[in-house]
Amino acid sequence: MSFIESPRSTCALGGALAYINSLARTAPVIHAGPGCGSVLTFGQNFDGGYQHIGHSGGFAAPSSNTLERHVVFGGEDRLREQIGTTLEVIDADLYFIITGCTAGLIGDDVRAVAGEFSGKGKKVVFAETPGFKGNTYTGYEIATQELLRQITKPSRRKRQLTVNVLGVVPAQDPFWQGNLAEIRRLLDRIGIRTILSGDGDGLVQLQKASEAKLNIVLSPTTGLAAANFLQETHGIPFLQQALPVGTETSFFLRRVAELLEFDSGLLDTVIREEEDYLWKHLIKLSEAYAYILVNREFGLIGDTNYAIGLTRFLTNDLGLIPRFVILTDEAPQPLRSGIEAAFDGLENNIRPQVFFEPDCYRIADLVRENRPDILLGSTVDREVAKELSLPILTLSFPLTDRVALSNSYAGYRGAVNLAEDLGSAILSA
Amino acid sequence: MSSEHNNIGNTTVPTRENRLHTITAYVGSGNDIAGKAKNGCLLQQDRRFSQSAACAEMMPLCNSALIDGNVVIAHSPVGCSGMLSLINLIGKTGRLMRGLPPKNTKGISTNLSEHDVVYGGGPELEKAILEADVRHNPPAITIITSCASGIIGDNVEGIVKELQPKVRATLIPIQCEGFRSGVVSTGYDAFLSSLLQVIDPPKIKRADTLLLVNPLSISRPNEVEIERLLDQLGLKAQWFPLFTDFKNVRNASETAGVASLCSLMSNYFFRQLKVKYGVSYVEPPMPVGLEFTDWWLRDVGRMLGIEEKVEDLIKKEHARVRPQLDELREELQGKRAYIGFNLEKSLSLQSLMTELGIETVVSTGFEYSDDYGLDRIENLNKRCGGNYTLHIGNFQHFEWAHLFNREKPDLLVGGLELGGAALRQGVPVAPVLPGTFYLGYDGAVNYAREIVKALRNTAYSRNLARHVQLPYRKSWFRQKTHTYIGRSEQ
Repeated sequence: MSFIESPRSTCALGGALAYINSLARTAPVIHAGPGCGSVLTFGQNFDGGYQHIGHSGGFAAPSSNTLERHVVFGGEDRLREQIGTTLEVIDADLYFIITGCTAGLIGDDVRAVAGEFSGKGKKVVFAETPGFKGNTYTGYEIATQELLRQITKPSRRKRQLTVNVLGVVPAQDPFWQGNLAEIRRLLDRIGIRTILSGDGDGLVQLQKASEAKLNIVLSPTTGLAAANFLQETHGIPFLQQALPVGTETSFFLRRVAELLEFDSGLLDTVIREEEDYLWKHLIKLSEAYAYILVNREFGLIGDTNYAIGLTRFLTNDLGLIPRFVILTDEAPQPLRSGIEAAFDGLENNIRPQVFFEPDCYRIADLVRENRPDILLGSTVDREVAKELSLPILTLSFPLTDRVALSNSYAGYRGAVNLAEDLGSAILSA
Repeated sequence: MSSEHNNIGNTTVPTRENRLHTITAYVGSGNDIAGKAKNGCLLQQDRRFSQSAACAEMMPLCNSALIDGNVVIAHSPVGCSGMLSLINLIGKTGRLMRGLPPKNTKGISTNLSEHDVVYGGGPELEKAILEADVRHNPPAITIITSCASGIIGDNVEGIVKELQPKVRATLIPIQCEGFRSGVVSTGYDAFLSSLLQVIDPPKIKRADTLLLVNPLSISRPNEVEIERLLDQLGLKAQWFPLFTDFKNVRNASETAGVASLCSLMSNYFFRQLKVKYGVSYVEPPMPVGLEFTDWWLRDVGRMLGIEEKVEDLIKKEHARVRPQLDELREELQGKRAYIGFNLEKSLSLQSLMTELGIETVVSTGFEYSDDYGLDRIENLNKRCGGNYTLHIGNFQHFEWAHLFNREKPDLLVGGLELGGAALRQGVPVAPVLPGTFYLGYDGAVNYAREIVKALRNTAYSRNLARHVQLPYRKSWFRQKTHTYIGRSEQ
């Protein structure tokens, strides 16, 4: 790992906290220094398009606020006290202890302290997520896997046509809720039920996650830890697919149906109707297409999850030319050749240049060297867009110039949103 | 850099807890806290239940990112620099308001990894410093430490000493490990006193120039109001250290004296600056409303020997502004406010509320120390009775929620930290944010108008509260607000 100018992620603790904030009636118990919870609230909820999320999120997140004396003498007693009082004050079904750098470095035995509270009618789980373990995505990986390990019960049989959806990191994807809602809507339409949907999962769903027939990992990099765990422990296979956007969604739905081995009559109807919806709107765009979009080469700056799906839609459906893609999420080295390959096979074999680069200064240089006509990126990238007089649509983290509530860029409806927002960004530049 | 620059400010600052017996946990009344403070029995207590608070690293990061041209390096895992984007937003707006082209603030995280915490993060910090210097050619680079870098024992000052000859920028290390203090202003001490390393000895004295410390939440319209007032006293304002050219940091010791727009934050720095360069200082409250702006101007006038001029100015300003405030008072009389910021700001806004006929039911501050609390509270107790609830908490949402629920105020006078909490409990917000004009005499009128506006349509908060489920057990609201402060009574 190397230093990063204007980082586009928080730390492992941040990723764990974001995941907990996506769960129903689940309270975090942050065992860390006094500032971690607030810095992450400012740095994640605000930077993810301004979202107050979580059953006990934001400034309401319980935190042990360890000080120098705890660093010197150990923080276990303080944690024990904090868990006890959290159970008294906070009304939740599940209490999730996550640790920061101080606890990680002084070696508090969090497992043992958490264990003292089990079997007392309250569900207390833990994950060790000190910031130095990695970025937001790493924290999501650790937290999801630990939670499933500690909560999910063995299942006697799998339920037909059920899936778990994994891999979308709340707030780090500012449009996570809208994206997951679109995926859920589509699965629902073809008769597939989600157990874990990634948004608002509660204790019951977490316990029953083992009953799913298939796990859908909506990312080439994230969600794998949980999927591997569920495969090894509960025998659930998984399908890995970058967040699908536009017509790509049809391939995705067909793959899911294939893996779940079910009759495709309904599937064909749904896909036809959904594609009709997509093209009804793209037809509306045709009159002005030549004016707004034709021959535009785009540059895309975002995490791997988004970049693949967006590039496919913009290239294969919307007919734009991908010039470069800058992947900012520091994907693990072993996954990188696979990620590169995901940009093969686009329309007419056009291939964008693919860079792995988290550092904002070098990103700006790459944009200058590979000057596109339009840019998709984060709020930080507005500066280089302005310098080069490029229209920019901001949609990736950190996103502080937009409000993200239910908007989505996934599936068919998300694709229409993307065409709409991109066109608007170009016209208002 | 000459060696004398390293005498002060280059070492770890004392915590507010140790230096000023600052406390972060208290619930009582204005009268109670004043009484206890005078009897010396106001002691820090721990909370048995606590929530996300603030650490000593936050303010050095946020503030040094806003020194014009400066690069801040967070020697930390990547999450510690999480506030950079928000600061970027404040920075861009702040620059626009000062007629400067908007540009991104420059912040770098050394992104400490598991490998670094085992083998040391020094090499990564060295690379970051050298690269920051090449990339941005900044006048200064501030390097802030973190819990992780502190515990693993990286020698940041050593690295800085070694690298200084190799870079053009002045390197300013700031020791501010997050765990060192539960008082956010310890971070202000670390930040401001670190600048003593780069303030030059005075070559001349500029008798007509007042050095003014500007907190990051004070936006340009407030500075303009202060400049307007000082101008009438024949004084120039030199803002320090945010949104100001680095040369105005360097020559800060040449000013006739120093005052602050937030004495809470500048407390340690003023004493250090006085010791090092003999610059006189005054510590009046934040100039909000008539009484506290008068107080602020009188203190400045006394320091500079221009008391008469100040009295003339006060008379003139009152004559102009009072009728406007009286009009607004008619509309606002009898409303009940909950005020929530750091204590300095809360108490100053409470003074304005009193002038507007608004009853303060709760005043919240993130910390309390006699140094910047007692004289203000005694003043307020005389003017509005001492029965209002005074709450001290480094955030602590559950106590805020408890007080919102108990007092059901008509409005919150607050900022980013309490705003959302209030709305979700049905309390409309008259925000004081970076961008709000509320200082001085004209600021009082402007902000009073904002309150009138905030009360004109309260539909959002009212409807929102009906849909919000707070995370607390019902039993929490039947207990006392201070239940979790101090050891349990067993």
